[in-house]
Order: sequence, then C-alpha cells, then structure tokens
Amino acid sequence: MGADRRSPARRPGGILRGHGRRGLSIGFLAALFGVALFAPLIANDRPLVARVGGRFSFPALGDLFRFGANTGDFGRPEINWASPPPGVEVLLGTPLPWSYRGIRLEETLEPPGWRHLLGTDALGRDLLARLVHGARVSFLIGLGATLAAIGAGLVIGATAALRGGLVDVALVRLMDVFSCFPPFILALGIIAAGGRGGPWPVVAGIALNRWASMARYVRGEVIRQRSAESWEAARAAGAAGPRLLLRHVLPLLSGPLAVLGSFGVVHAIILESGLSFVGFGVDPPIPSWGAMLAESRATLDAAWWPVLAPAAALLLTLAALGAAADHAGETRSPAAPLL
Amino acid sequence: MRRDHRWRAACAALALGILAAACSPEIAPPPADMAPRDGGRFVFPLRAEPATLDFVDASDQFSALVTRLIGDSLVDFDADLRVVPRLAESWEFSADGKRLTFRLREGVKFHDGVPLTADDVVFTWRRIVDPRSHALAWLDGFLPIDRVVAPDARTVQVTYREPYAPALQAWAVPIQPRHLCEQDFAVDGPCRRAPIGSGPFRFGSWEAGRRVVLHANTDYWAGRPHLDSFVFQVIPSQETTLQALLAGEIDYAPLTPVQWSAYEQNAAFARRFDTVRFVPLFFYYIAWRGDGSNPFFSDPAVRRALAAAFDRDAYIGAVWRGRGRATRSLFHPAVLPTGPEGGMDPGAGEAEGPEAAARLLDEAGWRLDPSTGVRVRQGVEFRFTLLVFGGGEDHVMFSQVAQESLRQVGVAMAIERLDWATLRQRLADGSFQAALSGIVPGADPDDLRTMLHSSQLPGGRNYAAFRDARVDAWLDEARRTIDPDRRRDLYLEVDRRTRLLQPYTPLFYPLQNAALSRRFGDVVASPRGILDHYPGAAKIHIVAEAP
Amino acid sequence: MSGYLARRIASALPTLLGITLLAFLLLRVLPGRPGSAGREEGMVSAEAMARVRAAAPAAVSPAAGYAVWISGLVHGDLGRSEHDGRPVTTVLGEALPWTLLLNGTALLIIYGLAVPFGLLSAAAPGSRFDRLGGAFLIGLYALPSFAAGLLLQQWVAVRWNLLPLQGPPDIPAGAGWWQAVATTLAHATLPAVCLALSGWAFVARYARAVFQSALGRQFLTAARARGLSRTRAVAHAALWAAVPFVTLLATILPGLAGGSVVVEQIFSWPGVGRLYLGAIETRDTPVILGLTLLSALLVLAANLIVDLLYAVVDPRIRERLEGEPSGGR
Repeated sequence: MGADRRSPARRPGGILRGHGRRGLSIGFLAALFGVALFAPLIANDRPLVARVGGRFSFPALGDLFRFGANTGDFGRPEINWASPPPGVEVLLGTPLPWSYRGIRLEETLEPPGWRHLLGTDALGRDLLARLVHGARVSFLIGLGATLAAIGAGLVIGATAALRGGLVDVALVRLMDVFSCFPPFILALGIIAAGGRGGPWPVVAGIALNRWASMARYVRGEVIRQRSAESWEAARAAGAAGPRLLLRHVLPLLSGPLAVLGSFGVVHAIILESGLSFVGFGVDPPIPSWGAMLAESRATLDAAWWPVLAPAAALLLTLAALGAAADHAGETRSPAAPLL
Repeated sequence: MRRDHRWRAACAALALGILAAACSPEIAPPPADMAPRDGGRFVFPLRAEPATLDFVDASDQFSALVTRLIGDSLVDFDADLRVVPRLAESWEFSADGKRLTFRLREGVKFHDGVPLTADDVVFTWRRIVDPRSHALAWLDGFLPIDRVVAPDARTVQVTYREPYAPALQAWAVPIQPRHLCEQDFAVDGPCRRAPIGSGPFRFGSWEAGRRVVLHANTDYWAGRPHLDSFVFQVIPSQETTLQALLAGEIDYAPLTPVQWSAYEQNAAFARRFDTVRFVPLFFYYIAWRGDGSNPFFSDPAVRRALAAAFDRDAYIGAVWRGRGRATRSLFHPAVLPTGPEGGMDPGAGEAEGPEAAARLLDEAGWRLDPSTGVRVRQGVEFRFTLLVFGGGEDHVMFSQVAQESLRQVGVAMAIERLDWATLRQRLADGSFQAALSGIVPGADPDDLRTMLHSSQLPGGRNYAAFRDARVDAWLDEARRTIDPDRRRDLYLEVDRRTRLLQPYTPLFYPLQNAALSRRFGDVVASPRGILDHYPGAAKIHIVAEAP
Repeated sequence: MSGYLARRIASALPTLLGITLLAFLLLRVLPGRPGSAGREEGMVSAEAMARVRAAAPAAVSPAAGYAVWISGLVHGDLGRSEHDGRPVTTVLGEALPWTLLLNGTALLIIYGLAVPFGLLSAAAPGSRFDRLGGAFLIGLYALPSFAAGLLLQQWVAVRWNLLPLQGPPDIPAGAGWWQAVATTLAHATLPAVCLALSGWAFVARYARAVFQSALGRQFLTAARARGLSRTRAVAHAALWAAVPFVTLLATILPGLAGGSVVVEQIFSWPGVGRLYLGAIETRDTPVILGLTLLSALLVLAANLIVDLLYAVVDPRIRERLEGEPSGGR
C-alpha cells in the first residue's frame, strides 16, 4: 500500500494495527451493505425455501425487490407461515423469523431477550428486524444524499475556484444562497414539492441542503493551494478541466472530504430522523434508522432499548466510516505534504 | 370532599357502566387543613403558546383556555358540561323559542374598574359577527341571531331568526369591554395581548414563547379566587413536561400511558402527586371519501366492512395500556351517551372481526384474487391510500395496525404521512381516498352538523362528502327543537343512521390521566380538563405546603 | 481593506434577494393554506368559514406578493405575523437573542473542548487517548439529541439538581450583573451541551485530521531535524492549522441555527428554531420570510468575518484581497 509517511515510532502498534483497523471497518461496512441489500432474506416472516403442494417455492425471495412499497408487502396471504397448513412444508427459514412490519400487539415494548434480541417497539415489532430493513433506507438516504452532495460540491467548488472571474462570482452566489438557506426548510420544501413515493425526495432534499457547504470548502482549499509548486507544475504540463480535477484536486482533498463525507452520511440519517419528527420522511411502516429514532421518542420514559438499537447502529456505522476515512486520508494521498 | 367532586364529574359525564369500577375514588387520608386558604401560585403547562388573548378571536385551545380565566361569560359549562349561570343571573326563552332574555348580575366590574353593562354584551356580539374579527370559534353560534339589544344596563335581549336549541352554548363567550375595545385595538393593547376582562384572574404579563402570568382579581364579584397567581408555562415537549413536574416547576401535567407505566409503581411519585382522571372531548376517526372519486368508498357496505376489520381494543390495550375506549358512535359519550350505556347496541347488531369483514367485502363484490392476495372487483384492485398526520404518534401507529388488519382481509392500504397544514388542505379539497384524523367536538351534539350535513360541502368539515336527506332533516329539526328529550331522540336517529352508512369510522377516545401536585385542593376535572369549566380555576386552593 | 468590505457588503445584496426569492418560491410549492392552519381546530361550519374568508384580503399573484414584501423590506417593514398579528420584526427580535445566546455558548463549548482534543490526539495518533476519546465523541454524536436532552434533564437537573431543567433564565429584579450572568449561563448550559454533542465529534475529528497533516508537513519535519523542540513544532502546526478552522466555522454556523429546533423544543427555549418550526406548521409566510432573511444575514455576516479572519491568519490571502479588485472574495 501507499507509504506510511510517519515513522513507526510515532504510531504505536505500527502499520499492522492500522491495516487491521481499516480492514475491520471496511469489512463491517461491506457486511452492513450486504445486510441492507439482502435484508428480506435475513429478516422475514416468510421462509427462504418451502414446499407447497410438492413444489419448491422461495417466498422470501420475492420481497428482495419490493423496495419502498409501503402497502405491507402482499403475497400469498392464504398461507400462514407461522403454522403452515397441511401440504405446506417450511424447508429453510430466514435467520430472523420476524418481518419489519410484523405487528404483534401482545408483545409490545419487550426488553431485549432471546426471543427478540434487541427487544420490540411500541407495536411489538422486532427491533432487530426493523434495524436490518432500516439499513436499506438509511444507507440509501445517507450514501445517496452525501455522494450527491460531495459530487456536486466538488465539481461546482472546483469549477468556481479554477475558472475564477464571473463564473466564480455566480457560483459563489449560488453557494451563498443555498448555504444561507436554513437546512431544514430546504429539505422540507423539496420533499413537499417532490411529492411522495419512496425515499428519493428525502435524498434530494438532504443533498440539496448539503452540497453548498461542500462546494464552499472545496473552493476555499483549491484557492488556498493553487499557488503551490506541484500544482503550477501540473498546470504547466497541460493538465486542465476534469483531468486536473481528478488527478490533482481530488487527491488533495480526499482526506478532509472523506471525514466530511463520513459525518455527512450520519448527518443525513439524523436529518432524516428530524424530518420524521415533523411528519415528513419515509412513509410507515418502512423503517429507517432515523424514523426508528423518531418513533422511540414517544416511549422514551418507559423503554430505553428502542433508542439504543438505531443509535448503536449509527454509532458503529460512523465509527467504521470514520476509521475508513482516516486511512483514506493517510495512505492514499500523494499530495499529503502539501496539506 | 375534593375527591368526590372530581369523580362525580367523570362518572356523571360518562354515565358509563363499564367505568363504574374505575370511578370509585381511591382512599387516601384527607389533608389536615381543609379550609380553602388564599395565596399561592399554580403553574399549568401549555404545549404551545396561545396565538392571541383576544376573547373573540381566540380559536386555538390554548388561547381559549387562558381567555376563559381572564374573561367572564354570561353562561358557562360546569364540570358535567351543563350550562350554568356566570355573568347572567338568570335567563328565559320566549314561548316561541325565538327570544332569549338575560338578566345580568349587579356590581360586575372590569379589571380597570369600569362597570360591565349590557352594552358590552351587545358590543361583543357585534365584534363576533364582524367577519374581520376572525371569530371562528364563536361565529357559528351567533349566525342564527337576528339582533341583540340592551333595553337597560342589566338586560340583554337576543332575537333569533328561528328557534335555536344550542343558543346558550354561544353565550359562553367572554365579554369584552366596549369602552376599551371600540377604540384601542393595538396588538399589545387591552383587547388582544394584554386583555382586560371581568373574570377571576387579571392579566399580568406575557413573555413571548415562555409564559402568561395572571393575578387574582381581588374585586371579583363572586369573591376573589383563592390562588394569588396562575401561570401558564409553555413547555413544548411532553418528556420535559414530566421532568418539570418531577422538578416541582409545574403543578399539573397530563401524562401519556407510557409515562404512567413508568411512574405508577413509584411510591415517592404517588406521595407527591394525585391522579386526575377525565374523558377528554376528543376522538380519532377515519373519513372515507364517498363522493365517487374513488371506486371503493361510495359503497356503505365497504365502509362498514373496513370498520369491522379494525381491532381497536387490541390497540387500546397494547399501546394505550387500556387507557382508552373504542367507540362506534360519532357522538362523544360526554356529549350524547349512545352506546350500550345509552341503550343501544354497540355495532347495531353488526358482527366484527376479520371474518365478518371478509364476508361483507365478498357480498359487496370484492373477491379475493388468490394469485395476488388482494381483492378485486370489475378488474380494479382494492388498493388505496390513507392520509395521516405524521406528527401524531397515535395517528402513525394506529394506521400501521390498521394496515395489518386490512392486509388480513385482502385490502392493500398505503399510508401517507403529512404535516397538519397539508393534511387539512387535502381534506378540505377532497383530494384523498381515506384519512385518519382527530376531532374536538363541542359540548352540544349540534356541532356534528358540520361533519354530516350536506350543506357543509365544501367549506365545512364534511370531508367524507356525506349526503343523506334523512340525516340532513334530523339535524335541521334537532337544531330547532327546544324540548331536550325530543332533541336527544333525533340525534339518536342520526347516530343509528351514521353507524349504518358509516361515512366516518369513529375509532377510539383516550381516558386521560393527569398528575396533580398534592399541594392543591378542589381541583375538579371536566371533559375539558381542570380549567375550562366553571368555577374551575377560581376554586383551586392550597391545602398543604410542599412535602 | 475598506474598499473590499464595501464590495463584499454590496455583493451580499443579490445573495439576499436570491434567498428570499427561493424562500418565496418554496412557500408557494408547500401545500397547505397559508396563515390560518392550526387555528381552525374546532368545528367550524361552511357558512362561518365563507364569511371570514370573504373578509380576508384577496389573494395576490406571487410576483405581486414578492414585490410588496420587498418594498416593505426597503422601508424596514417585514409585515405582520399571520399567526398572532404582531410585527415580524418584534417576533424575531424576541427570539433572536435567545438563539444567539444558546448557539454562542454551544460554539464555545464545542471549540473549547474539541480543538484541544484534536490537537492532543493528533500529537499522539493511535494512542489510547486518541482511540478511546474518539470513540467516546462519536458515541455522543450518534446519540439523538432528544435522548441526550432527556438524560441530561433527568440526571443533571432533576436527580442531582445541579442546573436548571428548562427554559431561559429569569433574572430577578435588582440582581447584580454577575448574578444575571451566572443565572443566564446556568440556564444555557444544559441545552448548549446538548447542542454541542453533535458538534464535538465532528470538530474534534476534523481538528485531528488538520493537525495531523500540519504536523506531517515537510518543513516541520525539517525544522524538527534542525532541532526545533516538539512543543514549538506543535505550536507552529496549530497556528498554521487555524485557517481550516476558520473555514469550518463557516460550515457549522448555519447548521447550529438549524439543528437547534429539537433542542429548543426539549428545553423550552423560545428561540428562532422553535419559531421557525411553528411558522412552517402554520404556514406563517411573513415570519418564514423574515426568519429566512435573518438567518441568511447571520450566515453572510459569519462568512464575512470568516473571510476577514482568513486575511488575518494567512498573509497570502490578505495580499489577494488587497491586490485583486475583481477577485471573488
């Protein structure tokens, strides 16, 4: 990998530990992504494999692509999988036999235990199952909004700094307008205007409110560093436009941007929870970590575990993103001396 | 004594057999010092700040609550929602029911010392019917009035265009001082944010976003209130409200069932706080848009079927910890007892549960498609969207329970959460299929007219677009009928018919438990809480020092 | 420099116009009737509604509405709240000091703790302090503010009775200035800490990254090779790193104003956040426009200060500011 530019003496534990941490955090993020992607195969009240009337069927598989439908996931309701009728045989269940929408009013607010590992919420739904499914929406919102914001910020910020002149003035105005705009209002307006139907308006609303600060940061750093020697050399060698952006701007900023981005993901998830408080955000019963946080508030005086589950998930995700981002900043940065 | 008061209120208002067990007062040692003592301060939490203290314009519940302590009305409601005299010593209806004559009390003075006369009553009426006053909370009761005159300083004659049974309800409006409000109408003036009234408390100060402070009116005609001051403290968060109660910063707090479950076993809590129970004038309902704009809800049988599918008792038991009651009537039990308690069957003989719902849907032509699990009629799948208020926990939670119940019977319901303003707009425009909402009915059953009468479409609260000639006729007749028994029968007809046609599905109402500091005595609860009845706050007094 | 200032202030005007225009457009898109929502809770008949509506001023076109608002603004008149009828300037004037107090305290708490923390962890990356401290701060960040607020209230205010539970301070009449300051700070502490929780981790991490790259700079390595003491090297790095912190300030200032909605609710703090939320819920157009303008002004002012600080900290930028007349900032 890239050379560690500090002497091992200043890094107790040395390179191995650093790589171990990085591997761990990237592994965790990958696992989380897998969980998000395959949530219906992990937590579902429908089995993975069943035999119905002598034929094999894969009931859980059908849920894999039902993303964002909030009508309560229809499909062969005549089969009661909990106690299958004769002729129906469950061959392989999902690891978690609960669905995110499996309301059980006789099991409300049960503390964590063997039956429900993270406990249940106010409607008796398994919190682990909701957490697993919530990862889908939260990842989509967090990553989608942050990547969109960073992408827009990088392009617009760098363009402003590199082009200068009127373009710079106009783009800075635009940044000013958006970054001065109270963040919540912007998201609310976009969501209200964008109509309903899934998490996309939420993503757009959050991205729109985040890009300006990214762009401002990129522009500031590029201006600050464009007089540096290596930079001038690159320009003199004929680097311009997207090439300059990719080869020289991005590596320069990757460290801080990774930090900004890792927090941005969590920030987006938390902003989504704020939107849920006011009544915007994803429609129930689809869980997101933010919505789960918002829901837990009503029962906070009697139950701590509904807050704990999504908060801990956020914490781990943030820690993993942070560790990965730190290393991105340390190892993959040929321009590190410049920073 | 003081416990009796409170319980009499809850029991009598309800007259519910089921509640009888809950209504036997708890046994606790009476406070040593029972004699009402003057002095002290009562701090009452408000979820939001009042919008105004203009007696006439106050239409949100917080504004109304504060103005009713500062202002005095001709009549008021007692804890059992019966009309009682306040400024009016007496009143009488003419034989034809069109003229109402009030005789005012002698020696009533506004807080600035000027006597209150019949002129002020006429002035208040004028202000309400002036559309610029925006008197939405009161206007309805005054629209049937032809004129109001003051033959002398203590007599007010009100003439109605036709007999108007709920007439007295309107005269619970606090009377404004003509000598001040005719000229000075500044925002911070004596009519709006620093009001002058003639009630038991006088306005002290209003710190924006924080609190409204009232002081005892020592010249009150009925004798000074026992408390020295009354503070309305704005605490937007329910969790903070509980913490403020524990910290002793407020003296009263309505708590959620979850909060009760966390503290009811706590001995220290029980030592410090008494429990006040009442059935608030409020219930949840679902409106089905039945004007043919969707292929589902024009058919009453479908609406009945969906109503039968909901398991309200399970929701109340699990989420509300039993602190609520399912209802099948649009009339709140405190307004018009109708259920088994009032001599009628709960579902008018209708069976409930998923099987009954499935059968009703089958009969209505919605057949289950085994390949999708969704019911279909004439090629149309039964998929609809329910609008809910996204900021209300119960709205969001019950909608999800309802969704599961409907899934069981092959109906696919999506939930769309909206903020309050958007929801109200969609309801008013009729651009929805079904909507879950809550309602605060008035003390008179005539209030339901705006939900049920065909004339209330559009513009009123007839969101379901319900049109039924018989219900219209009954509502019109009940409004003109002075005889209470006949009137009650008419509303029972309305109740029966709306249960059958089910334009709205009433769901449940909460049983409110509130914690009250044991320092105070003679706190009486009505369905409108501990303040909004007469004499209410004027009788609250200190019984003991804080332990 | 003064010419630069004048240019900057003049150039803020189009930005302000853009923001108010954006707000105006957004308000048009938001569903819900403006003004009276939330004030018509009870049962109001169609007849009564029609009567009141007929007396209301006729709706004007968006363009005309905006023109009226702008012409009012020129005269210093932001209109009246549609919710309680008071002048918008009064409403804002009451809420703003509380928010400034709360956010200022929070900012002090954030920077006061996070920057030293970042410096210490950067000085010894990978140490136990660095890793555990970082994890702890991230834990605080992930804690939702409503839960953190309740915990703080339950323990610090109610059980231990150390600090006031909620609400802004009540300064007793005749209190000395020190007493007033102490009371004010006591009341602001819990909400400010709650507000700071989400800022700490971010600023500390950022500080750590900045200091780390500053410490790793070649010239410092060279300087240390020449015998510059470790302390002096760190001090150098700290000064050099001040620039990115100034940038960061610009990034988090607007966030602090927006993020305080939940905190202001929990601690019954009558600030701008709560006002904003209420105004949106009731579609109180004049107040929303006024608040947008106000927060834009605050952010623009903060940006200006940040840029001036840049000039103070970094001589190269100072030269640019004074030398280049057409440079953006």
